[in-house]
Amino acid sequence: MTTQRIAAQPAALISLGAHLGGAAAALPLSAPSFSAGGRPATGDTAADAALHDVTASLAAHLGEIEEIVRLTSRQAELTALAFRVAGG
Amino acid sequence: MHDAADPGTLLSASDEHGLRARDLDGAAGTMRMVASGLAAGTLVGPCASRFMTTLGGLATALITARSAHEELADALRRVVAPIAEEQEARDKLDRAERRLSEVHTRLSGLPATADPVALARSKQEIEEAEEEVKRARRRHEEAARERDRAVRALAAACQGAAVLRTLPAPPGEVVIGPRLQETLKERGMRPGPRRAGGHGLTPQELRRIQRNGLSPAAPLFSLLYGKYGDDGALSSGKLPLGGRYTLGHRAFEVSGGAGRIGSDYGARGDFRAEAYALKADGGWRARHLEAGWSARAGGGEVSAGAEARVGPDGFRARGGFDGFVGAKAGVEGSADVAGVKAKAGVEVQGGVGMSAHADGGFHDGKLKLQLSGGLAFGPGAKLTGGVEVDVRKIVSAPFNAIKSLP
Repeated sequence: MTTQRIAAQPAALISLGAHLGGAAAALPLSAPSFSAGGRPATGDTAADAALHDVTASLAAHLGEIEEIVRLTSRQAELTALAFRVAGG
Repeated sequence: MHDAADPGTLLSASDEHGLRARDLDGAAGTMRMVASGLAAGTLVGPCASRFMTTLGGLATALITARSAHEELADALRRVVAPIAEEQEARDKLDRAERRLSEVHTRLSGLPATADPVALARSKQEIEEAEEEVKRARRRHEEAARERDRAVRALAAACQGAAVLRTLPAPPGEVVIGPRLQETLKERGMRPGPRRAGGHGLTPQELRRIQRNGLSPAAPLFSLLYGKYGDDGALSSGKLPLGGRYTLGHRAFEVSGGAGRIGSDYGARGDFRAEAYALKADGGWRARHLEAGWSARAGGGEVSAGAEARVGPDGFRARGGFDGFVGAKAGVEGSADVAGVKAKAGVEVQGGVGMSAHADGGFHDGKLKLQLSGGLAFGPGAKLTGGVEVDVRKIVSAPFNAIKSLP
């Protein structure tokens, strides 16, 4: 493959877009609910604060990943559409 | 002293982080599968590089997040048992201290004149209770140290998991129309149109160009173009002397657009639909002569088309229509002599139909003109005639003859 070549298979790209969309939908996005018994605590203030921070940070991080996966999925579908419209 | 720690809650939190790790593992697997699909040639070129970079970064980010959740789940699970044991040891210590206090209270309530045997028994109970408190305190101190160690490990795991990788950038704008050209220029690639004939083109590009005469160098116009084809038959095979037959033949084709058509600019529209129970064709070819025959029976056809285009290598204008139901058979032949190719054909028809076509132009040094017309109402006929003059060949012939003289 060289960078001078541009081509695409629209059907395969649409399939890729669908896979990415599915992956984005399957991501665990919200912060853990810990429905079994409320917020977990160790009794140590510093450790509890660190646990709370990392849980919130991971949830936010996954939210950002989900946004990029969704955008990438959309780009794949639009690129497929562009090549299909262009007759590729 | 109130202890906010609940081993059951910590265990369920560990389970939840473990489930999230498994979900993220599945998402990372999907990302790897998508990337391998792209690597197989689904999308090649600059846009493929952007997609691959993004997908690679996403897979790495998902795996990192999965590892963070796994570490967190493990650290939470490791803290459950030490906390439960410390709480149990503290309960035992509390009970031992309460018993010692009760024994002290009972002893202090005895009068000085009490039975010496009862006094001795109480003092022994106090000694046993004190010994029990000492053992419980030692056990609790060990359990508290163990709990403290596990909680510190959990805090360290939380701080480590918080260090997540930088997220990849999304793949950017869609590669469509003029953007395609911009991408080419941005990457310092050849700005001019690429040559036809397979040089520097991918198989996908070649197929695309063969289908509709497009060039990736003119993406804007490409977007205004479309083509659809369909064909099929119940069975087909070869006939003697190089012919072919098709039973249950059907065809459908539509194309249309404006802008770039091959190397020219113009507009084009076509439509064709055809269905015959039997279709047969054959032909013969020699150096300067060509002859062919065709037959259609048990069906009909309708078609219409128009085209007007002009470019640096010439121009073309054509238009016509066909409508026919019935059976027909025809022959045609052509002869090419000294740069002039004449073509003629006749078709005998039985059915109902009408057709008229005109096609003319100049391209690649060749002047072409072809006319045809037919009419059938019961019996009928269609005549075709055309001429193609290779101007370049005719003009250069005298010079070539002079050059070939000894």
